[in-house]
Amino acid sequence: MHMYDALLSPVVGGIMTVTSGTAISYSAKKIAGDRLDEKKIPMMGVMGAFVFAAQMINFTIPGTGSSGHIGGGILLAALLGPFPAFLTLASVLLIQCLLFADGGLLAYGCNVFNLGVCTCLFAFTLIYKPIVKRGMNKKNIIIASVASVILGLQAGAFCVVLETTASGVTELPFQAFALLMQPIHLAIGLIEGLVTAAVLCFIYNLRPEILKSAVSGVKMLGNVSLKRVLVTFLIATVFLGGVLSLFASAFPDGLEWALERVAGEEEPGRESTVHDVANQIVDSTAQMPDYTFEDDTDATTLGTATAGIVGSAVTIVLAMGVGFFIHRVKKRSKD
Amino acid sequence: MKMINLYKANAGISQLEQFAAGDSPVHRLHPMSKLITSILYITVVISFPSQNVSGLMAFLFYPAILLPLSGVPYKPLLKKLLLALPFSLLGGISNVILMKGTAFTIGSFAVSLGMVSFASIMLKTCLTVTALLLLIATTPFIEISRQLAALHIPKILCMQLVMTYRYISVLLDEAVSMFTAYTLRTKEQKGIQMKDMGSFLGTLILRSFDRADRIYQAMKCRGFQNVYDVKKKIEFNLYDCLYAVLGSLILLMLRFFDLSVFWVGLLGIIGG
Repeated sequence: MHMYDALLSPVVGGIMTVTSGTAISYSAKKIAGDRLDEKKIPMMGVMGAFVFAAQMINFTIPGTGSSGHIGGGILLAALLGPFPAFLTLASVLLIQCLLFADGGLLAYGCNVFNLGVCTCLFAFTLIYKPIVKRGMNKKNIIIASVASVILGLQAGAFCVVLETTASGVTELPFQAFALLMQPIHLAIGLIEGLVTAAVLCFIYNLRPEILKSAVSGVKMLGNVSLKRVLVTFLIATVFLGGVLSLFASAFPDGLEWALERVAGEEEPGRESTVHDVANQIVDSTAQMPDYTFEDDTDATTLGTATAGIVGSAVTIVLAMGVGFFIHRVKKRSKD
Repeated sequence: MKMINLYKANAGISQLEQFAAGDSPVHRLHPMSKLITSILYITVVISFPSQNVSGLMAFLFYPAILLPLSGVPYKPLLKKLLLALPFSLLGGISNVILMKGTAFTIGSFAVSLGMVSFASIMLKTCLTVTALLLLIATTPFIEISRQLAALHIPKILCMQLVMTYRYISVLLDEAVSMFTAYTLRTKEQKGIQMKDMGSFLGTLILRSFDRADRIYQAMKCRGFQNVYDVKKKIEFNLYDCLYAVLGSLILLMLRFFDLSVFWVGLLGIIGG
């Protein structure tokens, strides 16, 4: 369920990076304020590696012949508490992005939000914790983990749909995409929830104190209520999403628009001459006689299209040529 | 057979580590200047509208120059790139189906808007993933996390990154040996049965907890005091500055200036 760079617009990527960045720094402050015993640092590191390994352990789903693996957000939160778990997951996602090209650097913010904030912070605090706090027993652990895993995945999948649609890179219609994503993730969530429940019950049998400390270990500092923070988060996200999608449609290319304004105001003289020369050359191509076709009205677009194809081919050949040249020079200097 | 994943992940990490330990002009660049240009490169590539493929082509120069300069073999990177394609492929194919308008025709063959945007999405995927792989294949992971700390990313996250990264191979090994033990005791099973997952992962968790305890004690013995060590600083020299500034300028220029169209214009002018 990773988001990828290529399906994102810079605006959506930027907003999600800021949102997730805020969540990360909030969690980091929370932990630092907790005077988190230093013991949790190696614990978080090793558990991050555990999630990494756990995501690669496939199990067979009975009756279907297919296999699945866990995402681990709720599991981590139930073992470490929401904030350490969230930071752990954030680091796992960054490593996956860098080492396995899962997601992307610009999509990192989206992935942290969809897979981290939705599970460790939202689903855990809103569902898992209240249920388990009523009484730590196997029944409650099972109900809490299944429900929170399902909710976390549903929220995450919905965010993927929202981010993809808001980016506008693909033409996937919002409704159809949502109708495809939500039911699939309901099934995945049920399976993952059951496995998470089984793991937590196993831990509960052997080391119940781990699960207890994760639920009770989150002391609120000062008068910051987590619920208020979460609600503010939610409102801010919806608001930003709405406003920015309007912005995005009014200025189809927000970055270009912003950059042009910045460049135009700072150095009008130099910018415009370079731009003019470039424009002249581009203009001369679009209207070159070679590229006009019988139908005059289509001439310009056709001309640009052909110019685009021919030019692209030239660029590819040149890029490969440069690469090959460097390769040869390096090889020769080695010999 | 499912466990091949685990072996592969382990091998993949150590392979990238070997690449990053190499020596080349690209390796020698300051990690910060590489990090900045990589992020800018990805942002600029992503910012291209989906109908503009020719403008994107100019960004091929980045991997075309850096890859041979760094001396990183291209085949393993290509393999990693292939693994990243499927999800974008899904998005791209939906565009081919859903966008009906004709972009242009070549002879009697009509190229639809969907096909153009499909090409754009796939090209963007290749470029962004390659840029990321190039960064990690020429920069040791610990250096990247040091730069993140320098950029005021919370230290606990940076510390967390380094520790997780360090222990991935340890835990993967642990998981592999547990899996081997499991398969030796079961008959003709591809993966782990779902009903056994609870105790399998649970055992792995408890082992991880114990390991974390031992690591903590070892860290304490060596004077760990909850401070992230940023002592080792690499000097930012003139080349690093030049690379970052010139690289950024060229990238921004290519965003607004279609090199591919420029060639054709140049040919046109030369041809009279």
